[in-house]
Amino acid sequence: MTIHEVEEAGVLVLSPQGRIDSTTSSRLEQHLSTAAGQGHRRVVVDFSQVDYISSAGLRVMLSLAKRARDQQGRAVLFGMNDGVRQVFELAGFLALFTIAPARADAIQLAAV
Amino acid sequence: MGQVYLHRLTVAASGAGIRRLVEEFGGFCAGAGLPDSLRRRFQVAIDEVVSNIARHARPADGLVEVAFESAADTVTVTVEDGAPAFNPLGVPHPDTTAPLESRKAGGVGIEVVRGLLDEVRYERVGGRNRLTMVDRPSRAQP
Repeated sequence: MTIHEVEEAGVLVLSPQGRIDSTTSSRLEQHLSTAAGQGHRRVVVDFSQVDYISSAGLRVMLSLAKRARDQQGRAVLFGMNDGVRQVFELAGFLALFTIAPARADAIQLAAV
Repeated sequence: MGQVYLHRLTVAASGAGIRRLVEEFGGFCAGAGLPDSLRRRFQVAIDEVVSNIARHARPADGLVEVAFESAADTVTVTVEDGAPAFNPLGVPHPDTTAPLESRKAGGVGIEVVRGLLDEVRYERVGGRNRLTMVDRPSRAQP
């Protein structure tokens, strides 16, 4: 898994590529905790190049949601394929995030 | 779908073993003409089940034996290990409706596996744990 990072309108957009599973999720966690350490409170995660996510990745997403709540930040997701969405749904995680239809909406929602 | 495809392999119960399993399962699906949606469901399930074995069960030989089978309208993945008896389906269902403050990630993995696949069953066979996961690619769903 590789992770691209870009800042746009004061929002950090993270774009992981590939699978987010027990063998890769720690890399995403590192990116997110480094970003938090640098003061990024508005984060968008771009799922458009994520093949699938397992519960190891959901654990990272849960800490992102909790951090956003604790720091009055934002965590917005977009671009999930049907399989990724189904995993979020089965875990009851759709309710924990703002999910945007597309990148521009996600950035706008995170910037508010 | 008259043809039967069968692939067996033994890998380490570890991150390296999981990487090999999900890659081999990808190749298996390509060879058997199975859709990406089914491939992803099983790759998630393999990650959940084998990472659980690696973290908690820890078989003395450090290995898991896995079989992929595609026959007629059914795909089956079987995972066996030699650790003490443990039924992962016996763990309590997590609360998937709790508010964020009290939400936990524990137990979510097996819940996802149950929801993704048509059938998941556990047996203790010859002193080994066997988890059998079944899915039907023709089923209309993501």
